[in-house]
Amino acid sequence: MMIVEPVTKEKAKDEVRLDPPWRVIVLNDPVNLMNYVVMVFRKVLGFDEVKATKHMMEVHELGKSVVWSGNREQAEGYAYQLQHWRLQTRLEMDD
Amino acid sequence: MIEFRLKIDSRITRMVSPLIRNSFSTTGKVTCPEFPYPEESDVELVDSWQSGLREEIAQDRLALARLLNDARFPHGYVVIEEDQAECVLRGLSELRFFIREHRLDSISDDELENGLSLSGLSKDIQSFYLAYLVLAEIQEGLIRSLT
Repeated sequence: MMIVEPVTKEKAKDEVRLDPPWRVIVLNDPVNLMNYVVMVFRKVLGFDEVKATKHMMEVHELGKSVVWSGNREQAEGYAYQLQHWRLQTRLEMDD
Repeated sequence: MIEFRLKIDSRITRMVSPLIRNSFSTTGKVTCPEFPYPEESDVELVDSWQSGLREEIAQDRLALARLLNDARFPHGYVVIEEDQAECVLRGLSELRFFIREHRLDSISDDELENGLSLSGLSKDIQSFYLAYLVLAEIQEGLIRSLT
């Protein structure tokens, strides 16, 4: 019995490590205003003005920007809010 | 309370406000963004995601309806409760998407982004383009008020 607990913990750690990060990607669209996108990034993702503007410009010039990466649950939360603000958003598993 | 007057000739706002109200009514039922996992097969997850979003988008539409039905709106006045501002902003975004996709679909993204000359456009397109710009101007004013 004494041996079982450490083994279980070790296994749990491995499972956490195996959970791959997810990327929240915002795509360019022809409708939303630049300052609207900056405002949404600040509100939803907590970016400061400089970081929000940098990601907005990436979306505008490159067609998309990875705005967040991390565990699936949080990624889904951000994607949901960004979609509510009518930003075109995708979730992808980080390779 | 957030109150401001659009920096647009009130003859234009009077002209496009019926068109804006009409477009808003035409959007009818709440549309929902595409699910963010392109290959998701869990139907329950997709359903609960989309029904949640639909409920929130319906609230946004309600807030926008209040603004559009305000008697001062055709005269270029935007008057809304401060706690409704974010809902109205999102509702405006949805309405602009609708006009872009259904009424201005003959215009390219580049033209729309860089600005159009009204001459050369049909009367219908001119009016919808002006409505699209008026909605953007409202968003600009709200963003200024909120930030």
